Amino acid sequence: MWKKKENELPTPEPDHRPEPPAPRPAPRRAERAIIGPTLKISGEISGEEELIVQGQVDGKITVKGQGVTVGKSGKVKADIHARNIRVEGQVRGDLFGEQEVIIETSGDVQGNLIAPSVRLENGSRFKGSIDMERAKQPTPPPAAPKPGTTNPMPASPARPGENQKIQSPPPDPGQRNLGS
Amino acid sequence: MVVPRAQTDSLSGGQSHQDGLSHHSLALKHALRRFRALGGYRVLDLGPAIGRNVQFLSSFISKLFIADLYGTICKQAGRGGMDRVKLDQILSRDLPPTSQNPIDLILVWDLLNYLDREQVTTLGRHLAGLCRRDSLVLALLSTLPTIPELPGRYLMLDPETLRYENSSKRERRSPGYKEPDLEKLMPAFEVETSYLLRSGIQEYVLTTRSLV
Repeated sequence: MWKKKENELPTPEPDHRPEPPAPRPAPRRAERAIIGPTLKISGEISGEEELIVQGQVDGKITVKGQGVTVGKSGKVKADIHARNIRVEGQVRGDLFGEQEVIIETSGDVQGNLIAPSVRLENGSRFKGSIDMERAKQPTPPPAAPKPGTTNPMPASPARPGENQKIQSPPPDPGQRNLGS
Repeated sequence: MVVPRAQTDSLSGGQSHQDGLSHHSLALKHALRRFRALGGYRVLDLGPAIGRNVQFLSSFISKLFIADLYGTICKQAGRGGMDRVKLDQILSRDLPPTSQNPIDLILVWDLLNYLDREQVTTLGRHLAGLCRRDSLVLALLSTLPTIPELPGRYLMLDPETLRYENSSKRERRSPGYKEPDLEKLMPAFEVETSYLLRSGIQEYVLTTRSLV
């Protein structure tokens, strides 16, 4: 009774294995653009991919959400706006970093740096200003003090010479030694 | 005479220009004590850019200007000699514009040792234009007959310790400026306090002269 008929084709058993997952699109590789050492560009460069400058750029560079590296042979006369900016070559212009600006040992920058974090490596050359406050995220206002409590510190301390004078420490006569 | 605690007790006059020495800087401590508590200050550093100093200062300043003045002076002097340097032009170009908010602290380091009297006056005039009342100036003057050929680099190790780095192998004559010289050459400033180090360096904290 259990013998199969000879001509009868076996019925395929239902396959309970899970369907293979549909092929997902390959993860997008970080795009990267390189301006080679023999290239000279005058004008505005803007985009949303990482940029490496090994050549010369005069104008303006704006890269949203990505980094810009000025390589050792790079010479940039431009303001640069990017998430992170790394300088190994020469820049004459202002650097606006959303996160960080790094001037490497071989870097030479004349301009202004505006970023929450700035790093100058030993041996790097820089002349200009570093503005760390303008780039910082605005901090939420402090929570209102609970009734009955006092806030020991003013919400925004006054700078000397503005609203409040800071007492200079009294000179210690024992420590003063002038004109010896 | 107060000789602040130094890590190099063996220093004597002739050995003061050794590279890589750290010293307890009462002048730095004095200057920073006023600023560190509240933060948000503006500092002008006339020396070269030093990453460590930027890192250190970043915790309590809002803006740092780095002028690398001696580097620029040397570049220009290379073409026509130190006497031909047009310091006035360099300062007008390289210092922050006076139209901006005033500077709270100016780090002159040992630059004055490398300027003649006329240049010190010119520098003093420009710096006075950047200051407000109570701004401070930190300057280090040598009391020794000779100084390294080039200005040194001063690294802030902490709020009261400076590390001196110098690459000069040769020495030159020191102008030997003293407090009366400073107040005469830079009439907009007066000495708030000063400290003589065992190494022969006199640290000065100057402040803008009160107009009575």
